[in-house]
Amino acid sequence: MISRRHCKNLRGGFTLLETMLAVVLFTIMTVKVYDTMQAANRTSRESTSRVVLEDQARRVLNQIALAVMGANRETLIPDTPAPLSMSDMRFQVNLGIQDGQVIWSDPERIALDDGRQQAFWSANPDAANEYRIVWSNIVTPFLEGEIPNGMDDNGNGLIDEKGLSLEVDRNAVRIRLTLERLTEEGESVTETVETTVTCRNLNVNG
Amino acid sequence: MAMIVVTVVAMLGAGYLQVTSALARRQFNAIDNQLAFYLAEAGLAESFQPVRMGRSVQIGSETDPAMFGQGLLWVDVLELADGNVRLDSTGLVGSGRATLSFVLEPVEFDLGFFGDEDLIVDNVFLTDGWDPAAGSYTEQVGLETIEIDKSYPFLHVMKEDNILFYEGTFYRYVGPEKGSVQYDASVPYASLVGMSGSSNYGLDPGDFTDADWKEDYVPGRSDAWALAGNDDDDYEGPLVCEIDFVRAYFAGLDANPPPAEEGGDSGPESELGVTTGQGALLGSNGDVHFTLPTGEVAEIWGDVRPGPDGSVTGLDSVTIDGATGSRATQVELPVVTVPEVTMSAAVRHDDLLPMLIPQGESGHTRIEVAAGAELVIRGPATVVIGELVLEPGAHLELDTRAGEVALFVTDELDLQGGSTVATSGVEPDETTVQVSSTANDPLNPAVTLDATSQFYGTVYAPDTDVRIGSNFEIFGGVIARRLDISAGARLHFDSSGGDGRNRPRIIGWRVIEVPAAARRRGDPFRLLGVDPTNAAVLADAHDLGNVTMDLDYIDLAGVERSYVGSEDLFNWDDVESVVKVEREALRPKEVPDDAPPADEPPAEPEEEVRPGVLDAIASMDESDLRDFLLANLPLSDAELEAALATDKLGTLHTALVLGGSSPLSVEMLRTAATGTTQLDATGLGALLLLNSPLPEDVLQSVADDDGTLVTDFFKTKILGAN
Repeated sequence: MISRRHCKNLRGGFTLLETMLAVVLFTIMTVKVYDTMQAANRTSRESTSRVVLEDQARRVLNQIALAVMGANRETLIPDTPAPLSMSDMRFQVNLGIQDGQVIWSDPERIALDDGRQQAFWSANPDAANEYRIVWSNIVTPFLEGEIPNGMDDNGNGLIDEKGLSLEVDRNAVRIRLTLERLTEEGESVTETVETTVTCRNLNVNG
Repeated sequence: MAMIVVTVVAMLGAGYLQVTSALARRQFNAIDNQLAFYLAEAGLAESFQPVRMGRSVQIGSETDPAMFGQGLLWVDVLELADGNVRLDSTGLVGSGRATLSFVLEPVEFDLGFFGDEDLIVDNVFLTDGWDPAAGSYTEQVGLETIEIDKSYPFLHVMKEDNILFYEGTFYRYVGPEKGSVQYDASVPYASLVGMSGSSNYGLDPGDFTDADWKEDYVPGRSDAWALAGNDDDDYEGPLVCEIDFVRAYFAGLDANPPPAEEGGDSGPESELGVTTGQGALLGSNGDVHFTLPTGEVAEIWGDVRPGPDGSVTGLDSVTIDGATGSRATQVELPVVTVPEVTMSAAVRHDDLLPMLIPQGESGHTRIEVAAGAELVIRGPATVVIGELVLEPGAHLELDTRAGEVALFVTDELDLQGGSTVATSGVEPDETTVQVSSTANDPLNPAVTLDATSQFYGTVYAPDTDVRIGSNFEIFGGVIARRLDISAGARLHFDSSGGDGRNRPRIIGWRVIEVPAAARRRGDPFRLLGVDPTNAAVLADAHDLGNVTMDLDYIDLAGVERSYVGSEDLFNWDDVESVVKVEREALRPKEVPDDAPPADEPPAEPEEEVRPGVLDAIASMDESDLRDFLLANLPLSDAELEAALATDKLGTLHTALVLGGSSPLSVEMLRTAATGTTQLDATGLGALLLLNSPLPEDVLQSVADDDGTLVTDFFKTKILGAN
């Protein structure tokens, strides 16, 4: 008799306590898993965002570098060695040789539009037929770590350099660029890249 | 429900994977493009020096590229119409592609003062460099050119441009005296006028307060000073003067000029005067030996560059303010190509009026300029002279105000001591002296530059010896087989062209479109069908088959040998050392825009039909026609057709007329080969042989002929000639 009742009790399921304990544990586990997934997701998005940003920064940097390499050195603005720098470069590039003479392009320009945070290339700057191509519209007003205070805040030897800065020293140009974008969570991701290239076209008269 | 969840998760996973994969692919592409760019740059760098060495510079090809790192590259070369060389270098790495174009000026002789054989320096002389583009030499040594105020009665000289103001020290004038110099003690500036050199100015040497001072400060001219101690009024020697004078406040007070002010802009001083302190270039294809007497130390304000197997010795007797590294390659000195001009007879010029060689081209067997006489070469001029001799007191003026002077000397250039040479300009590019002599006598060199001079120009004598005297101050360069530099000479290298390393000059660089065959994405090895295990590495991919090499070398057994032939067939393993090497590359040439395409034959000039000839042919009788045609050979196609159409020529005259009008056009040959003319088998055979090589169809008809068209004898000859 006793054993039958005992068996009946076993078939009757979980006690309330057991059920509540299970629910609580399940909830805790679910929350933890959700948090972990959220964190992983955020890290992944941030990482992807940073990679995409670096990719974009490198592309813009390479385009500027190619322009400098092909530019006529004498059309670049005179030397701006550190702590000076500029964020607006006008130049002409080599289009080829004809009758022993180098043919130079129409004037071109690479510059930073502070207001729109754009790094752009343009042909025939300031002329009626000027046209622009924006290479990036997330350029910071000042290079990473720099604030406009007349000092070298980020320790790169330049004072108050812009988000796109060009430092010309003889035939070499050091290019620095900082891009910044916000993640979906509203966090800022910043990427700074730099390179130094040399003008290849030095004998302008060919 | 579970299936839905699994499906959604799977789709999300796939999407995420695709995004990540696309991102990674883009990054890899960017990296590959960057690597391809570097590879193309490596191709240009690999080609850069061979341009100077005379190689073809073609490295690999589209069908047989060179392997470098993980990618492939090739460099195509094209010789442009102006002699420059264009290099197109293409690099392929993974999915990356890049093609860069370089235009170079292949040869540039920045050799400075250069001896093809060992250079032996056994004297102290002044050598430095300056850049004409950056101002005059005097400005670059911190000196100023004085403006002579001709209102002062004591000094009237024509060549005031040569009067220099050595800051705080003294003025100097060197050159021929063309006016008069008057000494007037009442003029403050003339309180001390030192004068050396031969003169007839009527000055009393007693007026000069300090002869020793001058002797010390102008080494090597004390002989002239002694001459000035003669009775000047009667002296009728060479009209050469050198005047040193100081401002009044130095007059007679100091035995030595005051030192340059500290912190001033003037250059460092050597034993022989102020220098720019940089830019000199002494070089050789062999060794450079400094063998100065004990206690003497030479100062070289710049580089000393021996040949590739050479070295600089005697460093304890020289201070070198620059590099002493060997050149990377042997410098090849092209022979002088003398223009062909009509040569006039030998002349000895001893007249008081200057002898003028006018602008343009001219040739002279020998010119001897006597004491007191003057020779003026007025540019633009190309002048060929067999022997040019300036006797003491003679003067040579190279006037480049209107254009350059190119002087070619075939046998001897003897500018003797006491003569003077002057160039009107101060640009070394304006005056070139090229000597083609191959005389080999170091004791009696074919080129003696012993005149008193400030010579702005270049002397190029690759196959003979050059002696530079102590009074020959040269601004430019001298290139010789053997160079003998006297004590006290002043050699200023024109360093505007570069640093003397004789590199090709870069005319232009740009990124160009990748060749069509390389544009498709994918593994470059598979794309171009290259087996990585068998591909040539970059260093071995130079095209040497198009390079003719003329080489003198010492083999491993110590025997001197020569080789002339294709460079790719030469075995370098047998070479111990190279004595001389010259290369000549066969590069593809640029085709001018107006030239016909290579696969089309050049357009034949339009036929000329002489007025009235066709009418005459039609109207003449047989005898007159034959005479007329023979008198008017060769005939055009139209005239020939008209003549053959008359059927009045007969076998012999048909052969004579067609033979006399050869080479015939293709159309006329085809007409003749049909056998429709009056030619017999012998005549046609001779005509076709005369016009060989024949067009294919005509040749085929001869080959198929059974003896009716041409005789067997001519058939054999024609087939052999084709």
